Amino acid sequence: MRHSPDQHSPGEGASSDPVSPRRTTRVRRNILLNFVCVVACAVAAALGIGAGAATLRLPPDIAYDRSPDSPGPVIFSHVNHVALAPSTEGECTGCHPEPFKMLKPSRHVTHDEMNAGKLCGTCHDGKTASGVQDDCEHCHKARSQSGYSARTGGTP
Amino acid sequence: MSVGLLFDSTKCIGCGGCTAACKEQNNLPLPIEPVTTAYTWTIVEKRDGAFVRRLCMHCLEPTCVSVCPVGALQKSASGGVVYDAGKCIGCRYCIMACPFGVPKYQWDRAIPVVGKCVLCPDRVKAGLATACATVCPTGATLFGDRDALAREARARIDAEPAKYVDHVYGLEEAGGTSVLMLSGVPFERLGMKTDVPRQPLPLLTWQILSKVPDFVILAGAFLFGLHWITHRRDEVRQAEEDER
Repeated sequence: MRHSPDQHSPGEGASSDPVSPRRTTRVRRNILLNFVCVVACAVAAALGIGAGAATLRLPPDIAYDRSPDSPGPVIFSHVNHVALAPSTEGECTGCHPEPFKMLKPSRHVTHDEMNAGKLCGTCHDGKTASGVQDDCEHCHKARSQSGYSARTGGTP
Repeated sequence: MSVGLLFDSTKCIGCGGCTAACKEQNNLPLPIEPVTTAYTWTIVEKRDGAFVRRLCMHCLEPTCVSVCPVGALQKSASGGVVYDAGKCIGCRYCIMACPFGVPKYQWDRAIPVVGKCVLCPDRVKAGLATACATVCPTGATLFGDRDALAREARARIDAEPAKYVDHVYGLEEAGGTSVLMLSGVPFERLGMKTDVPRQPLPLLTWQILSKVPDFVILAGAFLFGLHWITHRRDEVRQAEEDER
């Protein structure tokens, strides 16, 4: 599908418009990109990625052991990782049986292990996927829900 | 009760969960190879747009068991063809005998043994499903009583005849196997052997071997008779000479 330049395109047509300053163009571009992303996600979900994951008999969410200084519980979702993680390519063998056991899974994961490239750190190394040190809340979800950041002053 | 597996190719998405779980259950080393080996007992292969599992079919009357000279392979009461590496002498006769080409050899070891799916005997004994069936996220691999699985397979074909090939693979192949398969494409296009005899293969040799005791007794009696006659003739001749 092609759009006429004067309506949507962030390219030459919009920037040459004497009425719209450059900033408006950028906003338009962002809106368009967001729109495209949302549509793409919706189409992908409708076509099978999301639907496929929904029909799979995947294990329920896994709550990992929580150490005393943990900023919040870590809940692992198979659905998210199977449907969205490109590194797994929808295959169980991306994560099983290494680095994660299937039949007798461990619920104990430490940052030292992950920093050494084991367990979650195998993919979450900051390159293949977001790093385990990048954003606490990315994994420790309950932090914002439990008001943890308010109590600790937002220390990572 | 004899247990087995029902693999429905139309439900398989090729995720490889069965392979991963098998590796873990049987302490098999990584990596996951693209074909079955002595260290990768089951794989999922994509053929003709469909996924198919490769694993031991667990024949009801296994040829490998009948040819093993030391009894390292046995058909267990629960249904699996189990293997005792401690008894194996590495003769590889089972590899030659298997109509499905299942047993694989540890070619990389100085003292090799054979590797093949053993239908998770420890899990079955504990009342659990096999590792592959436990983790299968689509239910493509089902574990259960073999007769019940055969009925389920037939019911699936009858319910959706357009979806399935009208054949339950393993119901009659090699005299019947504990692993049954359903497919939406002809089985030969999945790489499954369709020229496997319908009768149990051990029958071929059993037809000869079962007559060996009779042959030994009859031949023994015949030879003893010959011996008795010639010996008697000598005795008579000797007696006649003594009389003169």
